[in-house]
Amino acid sequence: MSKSEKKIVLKSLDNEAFEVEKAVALQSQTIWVMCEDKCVGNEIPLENVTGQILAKVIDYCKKHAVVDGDGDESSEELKNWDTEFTKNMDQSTLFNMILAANYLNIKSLLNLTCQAVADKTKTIDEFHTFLNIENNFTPEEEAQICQENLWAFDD
Amino acid sequence: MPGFDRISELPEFLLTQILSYLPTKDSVKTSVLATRWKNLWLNVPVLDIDCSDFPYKNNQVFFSFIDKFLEINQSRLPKVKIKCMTEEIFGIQDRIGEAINRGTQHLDVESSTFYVDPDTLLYPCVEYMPLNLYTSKTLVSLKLSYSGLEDPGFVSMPCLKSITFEQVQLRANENLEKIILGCPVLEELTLLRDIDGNFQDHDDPFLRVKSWSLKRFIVPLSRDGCDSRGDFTLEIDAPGLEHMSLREDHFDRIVVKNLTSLFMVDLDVKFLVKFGTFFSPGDLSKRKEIRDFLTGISRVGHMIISTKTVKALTLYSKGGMIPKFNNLHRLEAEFPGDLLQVLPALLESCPNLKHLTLTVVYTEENEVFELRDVPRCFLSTLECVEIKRVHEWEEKEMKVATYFLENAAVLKKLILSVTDYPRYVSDSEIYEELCKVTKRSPSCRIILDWELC
Repeated sequence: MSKSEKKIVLKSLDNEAFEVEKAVALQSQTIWVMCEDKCVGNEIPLENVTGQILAKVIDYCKKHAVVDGDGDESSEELKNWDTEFTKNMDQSTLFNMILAANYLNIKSLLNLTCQAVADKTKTIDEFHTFLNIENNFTPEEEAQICQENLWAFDD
Repeated sequence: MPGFDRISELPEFLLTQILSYLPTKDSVKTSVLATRWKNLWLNVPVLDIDCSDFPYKNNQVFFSFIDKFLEINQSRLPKVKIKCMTEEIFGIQDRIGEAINRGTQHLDVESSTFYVDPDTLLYPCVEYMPLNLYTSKTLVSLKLSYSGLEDPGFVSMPCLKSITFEQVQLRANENLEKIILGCPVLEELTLLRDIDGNFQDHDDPFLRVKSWSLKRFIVPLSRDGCDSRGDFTLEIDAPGLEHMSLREDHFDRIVVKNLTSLFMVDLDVKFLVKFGTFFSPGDLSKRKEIRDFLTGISRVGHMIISTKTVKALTLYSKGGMIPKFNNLHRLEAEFPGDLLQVLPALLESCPNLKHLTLTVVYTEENEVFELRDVPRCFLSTLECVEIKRVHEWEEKEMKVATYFLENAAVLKKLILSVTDYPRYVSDSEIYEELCKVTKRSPSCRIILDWELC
């Protein structure tokens, strides 16, 4: 394989271009299918992902790629890297990462980002504060819902 | 964009995926967040419940919840985790069976062990698993604690890769054998015996693990750490086994067969004879049994042995040579200080050893030992010696380090892991003292490493 064939260019929604190893990009099932189709050249437009998010996705894929045998990092190291990777993301970034992982069909990244939201929201208060979810129930409605599954609210 | 709720904009299948990482109780709680979230928990593809969260002695609440969940939630349930209460909830097996029919891949059940009769007296009981478990086409990992396994009948679990059985009640030991034979891709088996099991078949003290696919076999540390009290034999016949870890004396006799792929063993066993005692060196039948075991694992490349196992091997060596471990290149041994005398004899059994990690556990103030004999690996292969957990630096510690420096001809590194335990001697003094030793391998480096304790 020549050098150019091993590389691929990913273009974000806001026209930012990223040149990456093919092995890195092919972790995305969506990109894999596009490459198989051969309808696209060496440049793949990703209409749903901004450059800012795509850069993070590529970081993740680089870390998780097994390229020419240098992907021999221990699974524990990878796990720690994953934890650090999502640790300081705010909810808006996590939201965009989930959408990107879903659109690009990178299962492990989707699991990681969904897990990260769950980890940050262990209690209902954390749901409200971290996710800024506005409670649109009346107090009566809320009491009624609690009543239906009282066991879960009975701490 | 702080102060703005983006997550709620996600499509429902992504929101339920987020909720699938929470225990079901927490996911139910999200029903009060906002209207969007009211019924989301009912479509989460995971059931993860602890029965003790439900009102005590009111099984109606539990059943109406779980039945509603299973009725409305028609999606597949790849992950099911149920922790029962100590007391049996009659009818729970049907629900577990129903969940298994939903394409469960990961099942984790901790069963009840008591039954409450109408007079509120507690009796020990066994909760058996539903029979559809044994023909699950989707199960990948299975963990059961305290559950009962009766005759499974026909077993076919074509995807099952990992089994963990913690104190499961095997009505007959052959039930385990049948289950394993019905799992053609099983790779990992973790087995913690129930030593005191009321429902075990005590007339049949023989358990066979026979598998072509098994790669890892583990007897983990148990909470109560007790030894086998009967005359129980475990036979492992697994040509693909790569890793074996025996951390408890849960079996009186371990017979190994066809361990041709074995790469690593981790032993914390004493090859006990009845009621947890060490064997006597003159016990010929026990000696034969240990010799067969050691010969059976003699192809390993990496071995970890605890003080208990070192003591057992020492007893064994009193009546004759330990079999040779010709492939062993890495040995990690925890040595009791009073047995250091036998270190050379033990190393003589490892003619191709490259890397030795040694932790000496001194028990008395003045242990007397001499290290004189030079094993074969010292002349040709031993390249790295690591001495761990060095607390003090006295004559005995110096004697051990000097033994390696003066005798190992191809040694490249001697690493001392010193702890931050207060010592009278500084690290640089230790280093200087060691540099004065005449090294048989002139290029050997002495490295002092720090270890947190």
